[in-house]
Amino acid sequence: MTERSQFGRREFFVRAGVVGAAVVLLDAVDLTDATSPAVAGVPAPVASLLDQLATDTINGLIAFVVPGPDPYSVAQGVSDPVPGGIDADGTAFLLNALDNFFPVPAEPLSLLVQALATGLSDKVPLLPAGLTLNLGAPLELTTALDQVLAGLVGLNGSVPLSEMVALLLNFLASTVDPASITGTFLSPFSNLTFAQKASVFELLEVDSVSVAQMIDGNLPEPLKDSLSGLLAFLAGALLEFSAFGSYSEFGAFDPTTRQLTGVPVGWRTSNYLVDTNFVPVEGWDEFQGYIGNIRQVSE
Amino acid sequence: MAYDAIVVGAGGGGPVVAKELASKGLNVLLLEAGPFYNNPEAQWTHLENDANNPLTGYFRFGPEDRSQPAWYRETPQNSFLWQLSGVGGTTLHYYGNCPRAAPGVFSGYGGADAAKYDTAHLFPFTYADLVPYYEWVEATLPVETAAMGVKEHTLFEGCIRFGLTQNTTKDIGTIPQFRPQENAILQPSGNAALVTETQGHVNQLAYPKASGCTMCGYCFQGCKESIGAPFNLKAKRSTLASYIPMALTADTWTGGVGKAVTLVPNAFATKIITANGGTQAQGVTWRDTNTGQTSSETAKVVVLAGGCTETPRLWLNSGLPNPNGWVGQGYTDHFFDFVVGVFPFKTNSSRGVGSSARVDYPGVGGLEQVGIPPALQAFTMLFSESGIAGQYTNGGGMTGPWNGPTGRITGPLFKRLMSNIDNLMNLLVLTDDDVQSVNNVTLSTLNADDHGPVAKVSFPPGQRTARTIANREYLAKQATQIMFASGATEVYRLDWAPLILHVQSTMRMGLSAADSVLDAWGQSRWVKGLYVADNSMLANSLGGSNPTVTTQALATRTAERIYTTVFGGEAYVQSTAPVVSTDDRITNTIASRLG
Repeated sequence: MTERSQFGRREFFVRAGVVGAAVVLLDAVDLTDATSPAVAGVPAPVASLLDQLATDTINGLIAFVVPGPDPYSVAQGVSDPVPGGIDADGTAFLLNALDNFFPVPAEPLSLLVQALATGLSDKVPLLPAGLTLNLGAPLELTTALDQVLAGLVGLNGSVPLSEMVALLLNFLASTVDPASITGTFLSPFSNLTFAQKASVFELLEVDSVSVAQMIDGNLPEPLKDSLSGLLAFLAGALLEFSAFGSYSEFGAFDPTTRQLTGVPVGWRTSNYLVDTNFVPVEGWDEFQGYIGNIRQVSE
Repeated sequence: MAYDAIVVGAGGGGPVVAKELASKGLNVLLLEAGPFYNNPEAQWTHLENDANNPLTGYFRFGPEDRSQPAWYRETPQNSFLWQLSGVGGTTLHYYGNCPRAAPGVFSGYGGADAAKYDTAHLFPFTYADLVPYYEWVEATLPVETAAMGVKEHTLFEGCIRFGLTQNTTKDIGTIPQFRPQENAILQPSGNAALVTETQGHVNQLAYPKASGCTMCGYCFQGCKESIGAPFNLKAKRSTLASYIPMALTADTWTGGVGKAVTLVPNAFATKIITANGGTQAQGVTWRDTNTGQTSSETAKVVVLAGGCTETPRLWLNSGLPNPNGWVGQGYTDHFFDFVVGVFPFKTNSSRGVGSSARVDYPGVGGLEQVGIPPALQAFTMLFSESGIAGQYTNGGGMTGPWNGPTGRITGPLFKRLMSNIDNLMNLLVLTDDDVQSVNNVTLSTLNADDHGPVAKVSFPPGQRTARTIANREYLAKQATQIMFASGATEVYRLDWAPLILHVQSTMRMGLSAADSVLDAWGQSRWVKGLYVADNSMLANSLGGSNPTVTTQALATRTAERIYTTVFGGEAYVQSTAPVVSTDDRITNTIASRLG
């Protein structure tokens, strides 16, 4: 093990935005309070932190795919006065999909996160000078956090998929631009520019070899053979699902009654169903006859 | 034995076999992994996410209980595998397109362009051999020449300006031609397609004042039109609306000969039971997806119709023979591409029939117009093998007569293109793609679910044959030029990653025992009494034609073959006329059979 990889777990969680979020959101007492209830083995304050970090990260993803006037779009340098994915509740859509329904089993992804968290190779660019692994936090906080995160790394499938995805996106963000670790948002990914966010997807989609090289030590089977395919699938799925959800009726839909609760943002911004005041139809007056006047072709 | 035949899967092909055998008095058990939507008007909304979210929608590959996750298939590449479970299968959301396969993909084709096709993987019989079965299915569904809406009219005018002529026959010829789709959709009748009415305010469009297609634009979310029409008279002829009602009422329209099929939904087949050292099919074991309970039944004949991905999976999980390695191999998908045009006038892209216009390029493939609502439209523009346009190319980023490099469309351009959905036009590229064993279904080593090791669907990038790639490039350029000829001011080509929706040939029939799983009749070469009647039986990608109607014709032929060779019956397809699925005897009985 290199000296670098000795601090791998701490450095990984700095890069993944977890330590930064802890500095903002937690006190050491939150982590050492023995009466604090646990969520799947993780103290509730840390579970909440990871949840907030995931939301913050996916906000940055939704803004990337469907920019709008929101702060995440403004921060990335590509925004739009016309409402975008965040206004359409795209974040809730993707979090829901990832955590409740995405049948990509968490295990391969958690193996990757575990491998990254266990030790970072020298291929990972160094953190900038002045950025300590404590991020200015009191020692008691980071020590207590270390203990929690050590347990977290071994938890495999019980960390929600959205949090796993957030850790990965944020870690890769920190390799594209280490300055993203500290910024407006908890999530390093959300602190990137638009072009930098694209670079994260380039790493996932094109350069899984580089991702694999960031690990000090071997990837376990069967992940080794599957890494390239898994990351390429994930990169694609995150982008196309974000687009689908952001233009769907999700944000204006009551799942209990299966009725619309208002006009979906994406319908309004795409001028869909304008002529019926955004009410779905049972038929249009669309008939234009038969081309060539052929009502039925012959054999 | 309780049953004469067990059919596994009630999608595009299974109900065809079930109906044919049942109509001759055989006792048929039809199993389906997904749910049975017996009241579409109440059970389906027209809403995109509610219907088509592949993970949570009522149309997905997953169990009836929508609070449970979808069933997983491993896809180790950028791709999207899109099939449905449920009675009706993927025909629940299909567009009803029924083009016949190109004659050039069959043995004995004598056209001057014969060499253009996938000649190493032809069907083991002639096109003429299959025509009577096409005619039978086309009469049964029925298949109709599609009417135009605004978007079709716009496209056809563009095709004419571009110099193409109209194909007015049922058959693909030897030159590129445009035509309206041959669709399994009832013609608009009465007020249908002449009146606009909204949900909850249906008056003029209520059956029987309107019948057939109302051009509502929701083909993909399942067809409920016309509102108030009986179950078997819904406009789009998914097997749920056509063959299933016939199967369930087979005793009423056959002069007393037929026996109603026993349909068991929520039944995921987990094993094919065999005897005689695995050389004779004997029955099927399945799992109730709601209770988890396992059941088994035996039959003289077992017909697999779970589709291109699940049929090979079931075969492999049953430990059945695979001596030449072709089980699951040779997956064709029409290597789709997608071309989006922006118009300075309204095309009404999101209205009307999902697809009722196409252009056929014999020996190369085809193009079809696709009209979709906003979530799907957005999806199509964020799906690509060419990275993110303007940011990275992932080795693609091709330039051509379209605007910019291929790749996912993002940022201000994406918002602008999505700002007026009814000023867009979409053309789907359907490539005549070669059968290649590198594209395949195997068993995943990563995952198993309640039904065994899951399927792994591999389409490794960069491995397509030169002919496949050349065909696709040609079609993408043609699509672009036709878009401009139709009046587009900008045209974008996506270079889609594999969108695995048109699926063929993973259990292919073929001329040679060395590279096929099935004989010319759809019977497996190595297990007697075991047949396949879904898209996996197709020998190749049909020259780019949408596969359903060809599978249904083949399923009819296979059913007739089973009837004559196993049950001593007389061949009937070429000497009798079929009953139409809209027959009054079915209409009058089906409501009482829906449970």
